[in-house]
Amino acid sequence: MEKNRKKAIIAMIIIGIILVVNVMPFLWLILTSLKTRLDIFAIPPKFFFHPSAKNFISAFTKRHFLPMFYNSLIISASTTLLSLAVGTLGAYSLARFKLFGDKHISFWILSTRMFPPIVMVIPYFIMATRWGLHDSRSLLVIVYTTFNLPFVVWIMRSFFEDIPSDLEKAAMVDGYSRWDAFWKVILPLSAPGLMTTAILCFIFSWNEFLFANVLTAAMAKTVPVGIRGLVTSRAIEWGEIAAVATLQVIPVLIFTFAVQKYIIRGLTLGAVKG
Amino acid sequence: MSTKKLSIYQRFGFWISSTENKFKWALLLPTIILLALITVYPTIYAFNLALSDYNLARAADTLKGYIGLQNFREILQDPAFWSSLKTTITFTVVVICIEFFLGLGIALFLQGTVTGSKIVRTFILLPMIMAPIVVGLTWTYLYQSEFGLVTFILRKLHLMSYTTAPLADVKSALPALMVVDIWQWTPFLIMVLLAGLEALPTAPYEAARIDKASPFLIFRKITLPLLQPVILIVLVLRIMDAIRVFDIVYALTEGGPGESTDMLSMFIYRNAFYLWGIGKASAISFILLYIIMIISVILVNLLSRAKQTV
Repeated sequence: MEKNRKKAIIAMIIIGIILVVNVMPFLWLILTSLKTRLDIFAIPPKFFFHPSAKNFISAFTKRHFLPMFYNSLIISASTTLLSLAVGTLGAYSLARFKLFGDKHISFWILSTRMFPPIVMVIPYFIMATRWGLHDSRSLLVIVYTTFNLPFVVWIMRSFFEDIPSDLEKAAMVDGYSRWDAFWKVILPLSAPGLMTTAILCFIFSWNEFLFANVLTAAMAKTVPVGIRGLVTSRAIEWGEIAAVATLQVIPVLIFTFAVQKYIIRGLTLGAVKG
Repeated sequence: MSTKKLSIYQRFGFWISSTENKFKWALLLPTIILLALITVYPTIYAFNLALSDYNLARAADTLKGYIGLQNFREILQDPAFWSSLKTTITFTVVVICIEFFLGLGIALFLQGTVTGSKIVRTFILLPMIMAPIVVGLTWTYLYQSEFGLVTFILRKLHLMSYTTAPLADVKSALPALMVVDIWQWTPFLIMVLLAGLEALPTAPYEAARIDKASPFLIFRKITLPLLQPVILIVLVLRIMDAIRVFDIVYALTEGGPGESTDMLSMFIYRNAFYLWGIGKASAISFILLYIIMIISVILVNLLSRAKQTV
């Protein structure tokens, strides 16, 4: 008993250290966002100061971050919806039916997920420039679907496989069509899985930088590109970077909190059921 | 899988229409078609680029068009490519080893002690759900040479002199980058391995306890073999991510100082979008793709073998 209590206390201390190490840089970011330029450049670094909302205000008035937040929101939501609409059906088909060559199909789908983005970004850049799609939101929606769609198929397949297929059979005995058995019985049952998948797709797209940096210039610019854009050869606007980054991270934190039950499963492509 | 030969109907039955067959293909085809359009077509396009003399910085009439494998030949003779490959491998091996052993150690220790509240779990996951570019910029700020918090602490502890900074020195830039990756991903390994450990069956452990086996023996003979599939999956995912790391490199160093942190993705990006050598950059990106494919085939084989033995 005594030994167990000692171990529990050490475990708490370890978790405490992990939390401090994890959260410290983020807290420092929030503190910086509330500092004036004078406090940011102070040596030694200041922990106590008069907070100011200046950085937040100038980010939206001087740096025009509102349209970028709008772009990020529209692009992330669209690719999430598109990937879910198409991928859920494919996932259900792979989970339930024996298909001709289905092992190869699912391996191919997984392999597209493993593609390094740097390989994709070059042809997309050339094609977009030729076809006049450069700097458009729809282009980014398509590009983000290249990694979201395989993700949806793999995760949702694992969630569908958890639901016993007797349920559809029973529904079909009751007079449901094949489609209705899926749409009205199975889909509602997999709602938590759908929710987790949707949120992870949204987060991946919301955080994406490489594609957005190459494929947008002004009109379709997203928040991550805008944040990096505050690093110029003349100056680095640390206060504004911190302010926008804080606002960018907060929705992700809330989403993660909401789905943390399945998040490990999602992030390991359904392989580890945490 | 059974080795039984499939009948003609079982093999080609899907062509013979039945509602069930139509249904399953109707559901799957949109995924296949969409994915082929948005990934296979660009890949073929990129391969074409890799085989041509395509440089946006040169006048169009000086370009030779199709040049076969010349881009690949040039890259293999380029010392910058080999140094970039070496940096990528060093980075990948070091961060994966540290993250894995740290993650496994902590997971083993935490196993069964805490249930973990929602808030705690969310904040443990914080580094890996933050946008990588934001992670990169946050650490750039912490490493900043005059007022960076980490630099300040290192100097107070006499671990770093006032004449240099973590990202300014050829020797310390790569380790500084590794620290960021380790900070970002160790929590992920802890959480995944912990989830894996908690899903293990209890029966073998009870048997071992009756036999009074030592904790080390239990770990080697029971935990490790049972945990092997989870370990391999998490290693596959992490190795893939580490090899193609880009955002934090771009935010922290852009490959510098010198070429000390010039990871492959950064090297390709620089060739494509700073020097506009699209053909050459595509060729390098295919070499990166081959490397990733070889590693993934090896790991996937290991994985399926591990699943069979357990």
